[in-house]
Amino acid sequence: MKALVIDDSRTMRTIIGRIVKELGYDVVEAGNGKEGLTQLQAAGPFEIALVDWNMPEMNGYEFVVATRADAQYAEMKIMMVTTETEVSQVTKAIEAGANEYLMKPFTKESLKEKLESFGLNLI
Amino acid sequence: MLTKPEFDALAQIIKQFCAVDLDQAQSLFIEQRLLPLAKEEGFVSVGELIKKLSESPPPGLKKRVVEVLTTQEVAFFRELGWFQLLKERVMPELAVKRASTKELRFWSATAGPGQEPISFAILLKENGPKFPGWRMRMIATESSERMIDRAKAGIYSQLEVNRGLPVTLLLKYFTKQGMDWAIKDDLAQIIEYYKFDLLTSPPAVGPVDVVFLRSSLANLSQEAKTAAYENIHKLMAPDGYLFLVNGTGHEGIANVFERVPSDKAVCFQPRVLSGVS
Repeated sequence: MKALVIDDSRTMRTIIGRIVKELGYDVVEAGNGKEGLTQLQAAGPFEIALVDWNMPEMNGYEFVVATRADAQYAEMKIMMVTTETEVSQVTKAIEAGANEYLMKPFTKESLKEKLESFGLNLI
Repeated sequence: MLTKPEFDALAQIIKQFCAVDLDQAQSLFIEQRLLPLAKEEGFVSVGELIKKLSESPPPGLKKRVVEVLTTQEVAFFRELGWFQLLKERVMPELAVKRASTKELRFWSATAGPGQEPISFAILLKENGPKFPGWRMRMIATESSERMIDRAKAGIYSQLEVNRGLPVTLLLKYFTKQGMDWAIKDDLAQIIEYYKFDLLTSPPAVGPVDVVFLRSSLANLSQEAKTAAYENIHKLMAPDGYLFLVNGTGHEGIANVFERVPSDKAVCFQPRVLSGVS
C-alpha cells in the first residue's frame, strides 16, 4: 500500500507520514499539488493521497479537481488534511471528489480512525 | 499544546488526587480530552484550567478532571465490527422478525458523552428507507447525570468530530455552531437518555432488540458482573443481541447469554431462563 502525503510544511509531512507508515503504508511526500501530480506519475499508483488545502503553486482543492478529472486516478482515495473548517469549504472539497476530510489539529488516533472509516458501510 | 510546566503541574495534581501517572507523550491527547471541560467551565484554554486547579480549584473541579482523563476513550463508530455484523445479519433479521410491530429498539448501555448512541442513531436513520413507517428508538443510558446533560446538548468540538465520524455523515447530521458542531434535530429526536448504572433497576423502556456495552465490567466483583448481565437480560427481547468489546469482564455472562459465532464482533444472545422474569 502506498500513500502520497502532500503538504507544504515539512514538519506536517513528517508527522502525517510517520502515522501513515505505522498503519502499513509506504509513504511518498510532495510539497504542493503540482509536485503531487508529478509523484502520481513517477511513483504511483497510490491507495490514498492525504492533501493539505493551502499550498503554493497548486493548492489541495486544485489537486483534487485535477486528479478527479483523470480516470487513471479514480480508485485513489483522497483525504483533505487541513485547517479549513468552514462547511462551505468542506462541502466544496467533497463535491470536487475528496473522499474524507480531517480538520487540523488532529491526533494519531483520529487519522487512524478516518482511514479505517473508509471501510464503514451502514446500508 | 500544553507547555512542560503546565503538563508537570497537571501530572502532580492528578498523582496526588488519585495516584494515576500521566504520560508526557500523551500531552496532546490529554489536552484534547480536557478541552471540552475547560470550555464548559469557562476557561479559554486547558492551560488556564490547569492554572486554576493549581491555585484555587472550586469544589469538584479536580474530580471532574480526573473523570475526564480516566473515562474510556470516545469516538464515533468506534467498533467497526459491530456495524458489520449489524448490517450483514442483525438488521436483515430484525426487518423480518419485527415486521408486525414495526419498531426497533437499540440500547447504548454506557452512552458516555453521546458519540456511541449518535453512531447507532445514524445507522438507524441511514437504514430508514429499508424500514418504511417503522419507529426507530435509540435508548441511551449513563450513570453520570453530567454526562447525560452533555450528551443531550449534542454539541461536539472539532477535535471530537474528527474521531471516527465520516465527513459525509458529519455534513448530513450536524450543523456548525462557531467552532463546534451540533447534532441536527431529526437525528437527536430518536435518542432517549436515561440515568442508569447497570446495577440498579433498568429503566422501563420495554424489550430492546440490540444492546451495546462498550464499557468493560472487568473492575466489578463477580457478583456485580452477574447482576449487571442479569439486568441487561431482563430488558432484552428473547431474540435480541448483546454486543460487547474484546477483553476481560465477560465472566458470568454464560449464565444468561450464549455467544453468537462471528469473526466480526463479540456478540451474544439471551438464554431462555427458567424462573427469571
